[in-house]
Amino acid sequence: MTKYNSLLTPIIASLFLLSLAPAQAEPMLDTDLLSITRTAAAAGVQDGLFDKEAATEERALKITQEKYGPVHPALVPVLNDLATLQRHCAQYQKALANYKWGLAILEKVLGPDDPKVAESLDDLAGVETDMGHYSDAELDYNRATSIQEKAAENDPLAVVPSLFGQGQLYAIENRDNDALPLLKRLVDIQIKILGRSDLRLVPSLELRAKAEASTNPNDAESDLKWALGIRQKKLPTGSPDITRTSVLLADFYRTHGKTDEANQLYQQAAVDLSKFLGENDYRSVRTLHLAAQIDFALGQYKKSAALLNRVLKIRTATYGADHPLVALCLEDLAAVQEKDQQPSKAQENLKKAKNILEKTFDPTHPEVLNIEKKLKALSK
Amino acid sequence: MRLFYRLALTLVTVFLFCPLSHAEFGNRFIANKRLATPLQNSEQKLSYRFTCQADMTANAAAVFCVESIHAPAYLISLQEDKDGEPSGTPLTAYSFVPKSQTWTTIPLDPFPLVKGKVYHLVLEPDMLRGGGHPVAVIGVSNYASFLTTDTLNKIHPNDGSPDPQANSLAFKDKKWALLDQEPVYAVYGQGDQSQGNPYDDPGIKPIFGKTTQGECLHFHCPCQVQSVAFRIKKQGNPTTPLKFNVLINDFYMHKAIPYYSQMVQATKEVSSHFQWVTVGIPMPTSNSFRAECWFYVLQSDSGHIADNSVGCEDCYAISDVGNSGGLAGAADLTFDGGPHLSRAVYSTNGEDPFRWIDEFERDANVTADNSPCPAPPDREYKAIPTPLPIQDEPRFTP
Repeated sequence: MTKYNSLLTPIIASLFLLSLAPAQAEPMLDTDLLSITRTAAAAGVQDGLFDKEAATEERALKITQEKYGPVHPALVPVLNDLATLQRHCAQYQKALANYKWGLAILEKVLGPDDPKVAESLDDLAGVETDMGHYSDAELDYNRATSIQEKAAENDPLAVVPSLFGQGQLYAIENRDNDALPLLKRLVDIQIKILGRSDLRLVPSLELRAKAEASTNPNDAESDLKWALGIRQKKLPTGSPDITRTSVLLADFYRTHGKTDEANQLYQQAAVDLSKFLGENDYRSVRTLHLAAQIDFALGQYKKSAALLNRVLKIRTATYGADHPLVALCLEDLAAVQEKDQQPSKAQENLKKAKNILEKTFDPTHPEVLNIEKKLKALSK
Repeated sequence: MRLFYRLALTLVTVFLFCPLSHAEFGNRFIANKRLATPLQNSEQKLSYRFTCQADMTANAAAVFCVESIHAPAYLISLQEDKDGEPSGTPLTAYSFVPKSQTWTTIPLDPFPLVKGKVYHLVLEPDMLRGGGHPVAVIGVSNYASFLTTDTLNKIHPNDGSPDPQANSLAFKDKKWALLDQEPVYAVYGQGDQSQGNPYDDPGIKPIFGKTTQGECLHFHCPCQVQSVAFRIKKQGNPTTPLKFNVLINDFYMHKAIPYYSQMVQATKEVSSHFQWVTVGIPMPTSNSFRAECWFYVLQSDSGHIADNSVGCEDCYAISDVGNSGGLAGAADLTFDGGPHLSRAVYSTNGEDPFRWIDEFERDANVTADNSPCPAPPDREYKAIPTPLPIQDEPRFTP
């Protein structure tokens, strides 16, 4: 009995105090329900449950709209989350409409120069980039940057997402000369506030390296090494995020004729990633894709194709067969098959990819045009 | 070591259930008298300034007209705050003709109000009524006046939280001036939301013989109550001290059961002017307040009925604030309105547990120094992460 005393004392004390303080059930309010709904949506996204969570978020929007009407800022976070989920699901028109709805509310209630308007413009520009509406995206990023620069006194880092988004847009359009001054500014702002070894600096350095690669290869190499150094210093050894930057550096070496350096990095990356390749779920899809990319670079086409088929299966299960990410995977598979001397299979997969992309995008979308170009090259 | 472990566990458990810090729960909102601001020429305006307590889409407002003498129409508008004054640009507005000694609820085109922002509810003569030339007469024989009360509390009446921006402003001689008076108004929003000050009726309640007065405080969680404060005064020369009683409300039986009792103070120590008087509650009683309705009431054997401002002589009085009627949802706007419904309570036969009367639209000036309830769960949401642009997904480059 004595040996249970140490446990019994606090339990008896708890029971005594509980008897003085009986819990009282409160009715669940709309705000509680909304909280549960939105928290569940954020958790579901980690597992790739985009369709399901978009439906949940629509319910949250309905609750919020019933309470506040259609033009209250309380709707904006729900609208933005719903639009983001729709963007994940490649429902770009719906996402565009919801982001615009949120933006209109903020402009009406907070005025056109509020930093929250700038955040909303960044979101809108992101979906316009997806849709290939580059000039609209550029206008929105420009406006967001100018709003955030005015508010820089309060939060100098607030301008970072707008500058990064715009840099990303220019990189996609291959406008390296426009991207470089902007990305230099971005990195300078971040260094001033965060120092030179903050993890948040890494995506900016990687993006700047991409823009520098053709005109200033030395600067690009230096930025990639700097980014890799930060990751190695801040993350556990062998982390897939270190491998990701390491592969970017290897890609840079390969495209600049430094095959030995590239292969050395690819081989180490393959070893580091090997222990992460057991799973077949949404959380592991990026790692599987990276491993396939490494095998492709090392000329191990069969292994690369096998990994890509796993990626394809997961993406199809997550997003459905007609999602652009499925098309991109088929395009990658075609690249492997072309190298592996299977041109007819490659052609077949490119056609499938083109069909998928045409269901979502305009025929003039850069990705559609890109596949057309590849198909033409293959048929020669 | 085992003894230490046992003691540590017990202490942790006790601390979990007995937070040490204290907060105040009750009605500190004071009003001693009604004041009226007449708007007697076309240049005059009155603003009720307030901080929005919760996100809402306003669709109506209510004001109390003290006097309306052949009054013209008045325009009521919601305006944003600019350097402490109304911005001059109505967010939403409506014209109405006020009636004397009552509340008027005026519909507004829905407009979103944001939690934490300061707004003004502005009243001004509406001489044009939407037309191009004046269609009304305004002057000393044609005007309306609107209600404020004398003490500027700078708190929200419904929960006692601070509102340092609350004030009334008058526009006269082409400039706004602070009146330092309590705004009396209500703003309604979609989804049964509302905020404002519904207390148009400052009160003094007599305590003598079997006439017992106080407040039912409905705690939101089990708590300690170490002391209770009342805003009281004496009238004439009471011969016996005040008695403080705590009763528990048995809502199944509709009766109030005595729980604890003690003397407040010697008669000489109670002032002839209203003052807050604190009464301590000793252990173990102070530890035992569950999340339900507790009556904190005062009684005295001294005094008799009288025709004076208090209603008794040689007795005691407690101050309260209330709504005189005619305001939709007033009970939700008073202190701790809504589902908990703390409220003023009184009895003219204090010994009878069944003869207690609830006044849902009034609150006596009674507060309890209690242990605070746990903070509600964090409702800050992290936005869902955005995907990479489709064109920026990692790709195979031959």
